[in-house]
Amino acid sequence: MAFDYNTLLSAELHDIKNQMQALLSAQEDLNEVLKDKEQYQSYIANVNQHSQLLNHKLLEILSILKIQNQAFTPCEDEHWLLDTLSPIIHEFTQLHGMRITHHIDKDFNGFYDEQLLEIALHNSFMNAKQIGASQLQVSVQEFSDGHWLIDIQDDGPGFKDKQLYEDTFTIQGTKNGLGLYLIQQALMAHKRNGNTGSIHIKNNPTQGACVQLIFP
Amino acid sequence: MSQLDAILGKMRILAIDDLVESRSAMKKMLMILGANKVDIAMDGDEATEFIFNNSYDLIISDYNLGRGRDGQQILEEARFTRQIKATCTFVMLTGENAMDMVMGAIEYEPDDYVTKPFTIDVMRQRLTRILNVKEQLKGINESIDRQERRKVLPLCDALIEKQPRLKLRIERIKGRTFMALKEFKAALDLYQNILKEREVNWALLGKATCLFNLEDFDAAEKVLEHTIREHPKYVQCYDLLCKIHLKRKKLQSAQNTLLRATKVSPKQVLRQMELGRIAYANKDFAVAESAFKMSVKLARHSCYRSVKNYLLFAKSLQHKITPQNNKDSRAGSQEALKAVEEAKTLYKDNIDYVFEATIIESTTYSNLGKEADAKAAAERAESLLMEINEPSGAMQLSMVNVFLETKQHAKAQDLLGTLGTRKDLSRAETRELTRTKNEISEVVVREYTTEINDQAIGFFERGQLNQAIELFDKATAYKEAGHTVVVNAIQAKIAFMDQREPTKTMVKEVDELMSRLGNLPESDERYDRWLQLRKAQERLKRSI
Repeated sequence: MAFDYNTLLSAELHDIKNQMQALLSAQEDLNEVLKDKEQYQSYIANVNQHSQLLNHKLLEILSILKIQNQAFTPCEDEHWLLDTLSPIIHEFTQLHGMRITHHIDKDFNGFYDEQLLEIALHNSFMNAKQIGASQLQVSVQEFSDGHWLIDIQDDGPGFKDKQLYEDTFTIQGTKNGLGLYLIQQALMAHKRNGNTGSIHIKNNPTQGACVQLIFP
Repeated sequence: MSQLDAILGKMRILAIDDLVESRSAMKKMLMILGANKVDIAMDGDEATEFIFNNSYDLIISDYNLGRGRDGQQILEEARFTRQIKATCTFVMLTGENAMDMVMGAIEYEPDDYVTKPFTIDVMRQRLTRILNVKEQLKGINESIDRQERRKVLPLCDALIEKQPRLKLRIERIKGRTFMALKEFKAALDLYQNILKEREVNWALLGKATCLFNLEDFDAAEKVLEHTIREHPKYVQCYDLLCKIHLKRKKLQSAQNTLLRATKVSPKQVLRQMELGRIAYANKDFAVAESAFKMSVKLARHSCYRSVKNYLLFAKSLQHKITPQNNKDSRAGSQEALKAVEEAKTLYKDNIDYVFEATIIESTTYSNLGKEADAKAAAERAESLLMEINEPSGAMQLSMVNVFLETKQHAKAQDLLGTLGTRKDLSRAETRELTRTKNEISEVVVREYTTEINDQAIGFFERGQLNQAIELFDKATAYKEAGHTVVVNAIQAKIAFMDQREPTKTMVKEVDELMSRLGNLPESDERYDRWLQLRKAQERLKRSI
């Protein structure tokens, strides 16, 4: 019988996920116990930041495996966008010191694979941060034919011309390339009535970049 | 977030996770979020116990609970048995690989699911949201709990009007309600409208279910095949596809379909039971055996526990039990006898079940070549059958088979006689009766009639002619009875009439027996006796 690496990998990842969950809980406990001890707060913040990143990286691995798998189908379902977005906003404002504003109705819900959107949002925010942006503005647009998009604008230096004119994003090249590639893959997994999700990038007329995550 | 504090504080909550750290972490997390009363359960059995004894407002369960039942099954059973109300919120914690199975559940989907690993922020956000949504659906869910289905529909329409963002969620309830009311045409229209907007998996299954109920099997199959292509892990589709195969009497396709489903999701009891039954009918005993084994294991502490699982499991093991006593046979017989014992213990108050279990016990011993044990069990079954008020035809048939296995032909024949006079046998039972009769070879019947013949001669020689005649009648009732038996029967009747007085009935009976014999040739060793008996018969005829 052929050795089934996929099963083995899934089992290992399952264990890692459980350990990650336990670690996050232990950290919550620590935060709770030490919440009044001012002198430890900087250490705690540091630990929190790394564990959040680690958690995120784990989700990213899961998503890459998911997308890579031929038999993969996204788990699209109805979600409330703010449920998905808020923890990410919380992470970037609290741990990375960014300022994020949004104009999203708390009852706005859409149909998407939540894990993939998390990856897409996280990568979009991380790209902006790494390129030097400190402020983000997030909004949503809905269209009468049922498609919708998330618009993310930053105050960074914007995309380079070369990036803007590329048709598709590849995984070769810089760290940013990987981010955009993943976002694109995450969106392309979304389909509706023969249409596919996509990513659109542009620079704002005055300052900063704009990334649009478009859902079919 | 103080609002969540207040809501959770008033709630009775159950958290289910198989890992000890996750369990306590979850409880702590809920306490931090404001909960006061949190019970924790480690597996399906414990959860079922808790759910049975308490009324929960919120249940949070991991999907994957190790070896026993999974979170989805706990949810299905609890909702199916109405142990939890429609107003109770059920949140599933899942790995991404289980999503299709959870999301697509047409009848019993969780209210929400959270992907692991999650932070307390995520949990806070999600609980706030789902409890809020659940509050808005409260009126609808209360009507569902009161089983006022007709009231559900207008409530749904009113809420869609008021909360268009909840449209899809409410339409899902509407579809389910239409189906419960057997209004499949209305449900079909609803699902088709949803599907025009987007291919939601549960709407696809809903559409297929409606088409199935409207008996458009081809269309239903087409929808299902498309859905399975898009969502290969959506196991409920396989269940419906199997039903279509069964309607078309394609048993092998039905079995293959269910096998695929159990590969994706092996822990669904009802599916395993169905697979076992179909495979057993297909005489694919290996598949039947593993399906029933799984059913026994999974249902042991669930509402789906059934004596049939134990008995069919023991039956499906018989194919490997032989007197050779090899490893397979030893293991098989041990498992079969264990299942039988467990069934007898669990259902000791139900004599029908104990009887059925004892029948299988006897067969197991017969197959093992342990004749004495088999006969002892057969005798226990026989006395149980006598105690049963109105035994079914199936019970009597199984007793006949055990009599034959334990070489008690006379008893088998007697019972077959009784069965032959029953007017309430089902088609299958009549078929089985004919099959059993045909299986009894001529030689066996000969042996049997000879056995009776010998007993009858004993009576005859002691001058107990009544008893002798009764037994000879029994023996000659079989067309297979030999000439000696017939000649003996004639002799007993003539002796009887000589001693008492000849009667028209008995003379007629002797005539019939004579014509069965025809003309015996002179070379036959019974020729002289036959000739004498014919003369005696003529004499008796003249005297009446």
